[in-house]
Amino acid sequence: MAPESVSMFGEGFDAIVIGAGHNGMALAAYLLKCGLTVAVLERRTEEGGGLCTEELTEPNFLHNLHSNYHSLVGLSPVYDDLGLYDEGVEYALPEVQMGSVFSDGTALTIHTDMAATHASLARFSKKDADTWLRLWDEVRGYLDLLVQTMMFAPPISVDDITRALVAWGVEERSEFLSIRLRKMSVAEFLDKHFEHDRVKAMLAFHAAICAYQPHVRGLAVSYPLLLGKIANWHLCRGGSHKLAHALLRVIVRAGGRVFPQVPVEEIVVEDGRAVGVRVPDGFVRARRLVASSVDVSQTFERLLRPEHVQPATRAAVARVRYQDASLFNVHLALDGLPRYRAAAFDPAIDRAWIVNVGYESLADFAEDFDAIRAGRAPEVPRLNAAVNSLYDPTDAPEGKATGLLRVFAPYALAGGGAEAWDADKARYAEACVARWRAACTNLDGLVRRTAAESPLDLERRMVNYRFGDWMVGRIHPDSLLDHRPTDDLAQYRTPIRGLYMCGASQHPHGYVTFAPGYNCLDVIADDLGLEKWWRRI
Amino acid sequence: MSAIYSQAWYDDLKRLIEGSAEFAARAPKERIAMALEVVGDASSPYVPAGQERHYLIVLDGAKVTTLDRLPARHDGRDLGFRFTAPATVWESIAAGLLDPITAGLRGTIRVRGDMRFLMKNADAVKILVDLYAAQVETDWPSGKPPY
Repeated sequence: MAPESVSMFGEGFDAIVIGAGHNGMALAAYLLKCGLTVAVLERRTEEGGGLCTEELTEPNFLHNLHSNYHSLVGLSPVYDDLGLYDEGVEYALPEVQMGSVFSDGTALTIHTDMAATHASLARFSKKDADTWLRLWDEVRGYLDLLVQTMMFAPPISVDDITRALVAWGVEERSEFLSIRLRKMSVAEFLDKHFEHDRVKAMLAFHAAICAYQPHVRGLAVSYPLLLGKIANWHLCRGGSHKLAHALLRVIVRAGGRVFPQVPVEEIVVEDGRAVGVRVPDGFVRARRLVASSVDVSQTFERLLRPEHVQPATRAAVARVRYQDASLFNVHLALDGLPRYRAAAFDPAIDRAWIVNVGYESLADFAEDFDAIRAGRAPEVPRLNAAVNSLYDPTDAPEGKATGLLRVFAPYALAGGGAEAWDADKARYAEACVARWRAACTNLDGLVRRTAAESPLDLERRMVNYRFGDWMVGRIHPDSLLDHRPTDDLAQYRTPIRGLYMCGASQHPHGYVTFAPGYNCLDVIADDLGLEKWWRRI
Repeated sequence: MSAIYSQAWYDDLKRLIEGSAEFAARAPKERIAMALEVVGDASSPYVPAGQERHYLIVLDGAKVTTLDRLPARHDGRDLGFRFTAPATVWESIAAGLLDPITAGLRGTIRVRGDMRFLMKNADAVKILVDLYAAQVETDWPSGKPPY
């Protein structure tokens, strides 16, 4: 018999959600609106998980430590279902979404206005610019279907998708969709359709910062979906944590509770059923379900006793792979907005929210990711540089700005392991700033203060980011769709009755999509017979 | 021959579906309800701009148990799919001028519902849309597309 709930938690709850990240909180909010009593238990001192905004460098300079780009705004149903805009969430949609600056002083920019994007691409290749417009036009047509099928529904197999594409003769109707995509890398897709190295580098950069490494075979199958969002990157005004706070408000208004600093130590199982959790104060009863948004490895290897995990499940979880490329981050407090040398070529680059500094060909990506797999941080960092203040001036004092430099980097450094970052991160941060300085005309006098976060630091703050993997499981054909995180756990249920998985370990992956929590909800609703008010068609 | 949008036209479509041995062999086992929404546009002489026509089709296996015009937009309860497109699009498909799969891929027809179901029943879907496209002998009293 499980003990009674400790008094702080009353007689327990219908549902306990482990982890107050955006997926866990969204699931909690939906369940509350279904009439269940729900508690969310969080290890950290505040809600939000990766929606983490802190004054890391100086007071009044707001830095998004993890989640910065929200590309599913307007596509994810969760915002409207839960009324998040009514709870204070505001987004900016930068009109120059991203860009690249190149060593010869040229620049390329991706705009929300595709005519402007076409004009920018055409300065490198008219043929590529025209191809881009055809691709964009085609992808926009089926984006809605892709989002519904491949994100906001429990996963189906790539075989089912392929069979449908064949049955419908999609290959004859589409210039870009093909059943061969399932065997192709993003780089191969780009090589097939585009001719100019820099155009390909820009598009590969976009894929890479979505964690789709350009040379991984099989990822081209998801590439049209990624491309469809290339002009939909939103910035949460006031910091990404505003979104977490809105979720908290929805939960509280619906009568739910979020308990910070209550780390779950064990998921208690009785007769093959999850009946609650053990926390430092004692036992908390879950009358109907426990949902874990903690990654699959920790859920099955740390929170469940070994005797409750079947050997086959344990073996499958042990085979879960994490990304070999993490992120090294440098947050900057600036005395103004940076100006790029390449603005002489394309002034719009100074308005680009996210800028690629360094990737000039597909070969550059191969070079970096090869180095990373060997445990080496790229010697000359190639940057993903974002200036949020361009589109959210409230994130810094008047006239000031924040900056964020990100570099793909290994979690463990060859010869020293992950801990070696502690000794090396100041040097590497300076190398990142130096690279940015070289691309800008005015950075010398602008940098007030920097704060570096290594891949190890990511993991230290966010226990879900094992090995610094912000996608919580690698983006690879063997760990996507109905293979994510394992074949047996891909449908959000577990072999333990009443225990569900709702975090970024699950399909589709990390990033602020809400899809893992939303899809888990769908499965829970089936099992509990809840009316799917959110699924009204 | 039956006039476009008439009940006789839909009865013909129903007969075609229920008479298709190919569809009977591949029809999903589940009962599935679908709403078809015809949005008036400036081109169609049958559904003026600002007006809409709504239809409900319910399949139970290979049987069409319901194929009715609705007085108003379906409220979505117990609905599996909603297909929405301008009148000219539906009419062009019925006239054999527009490929319905392409129209779906291009977003010309807006599809709401569980796409996994459509993918898992891709063959049946293809048969159905082919029947809708130009298989019903259609009379066009106010003119035939293209307009």
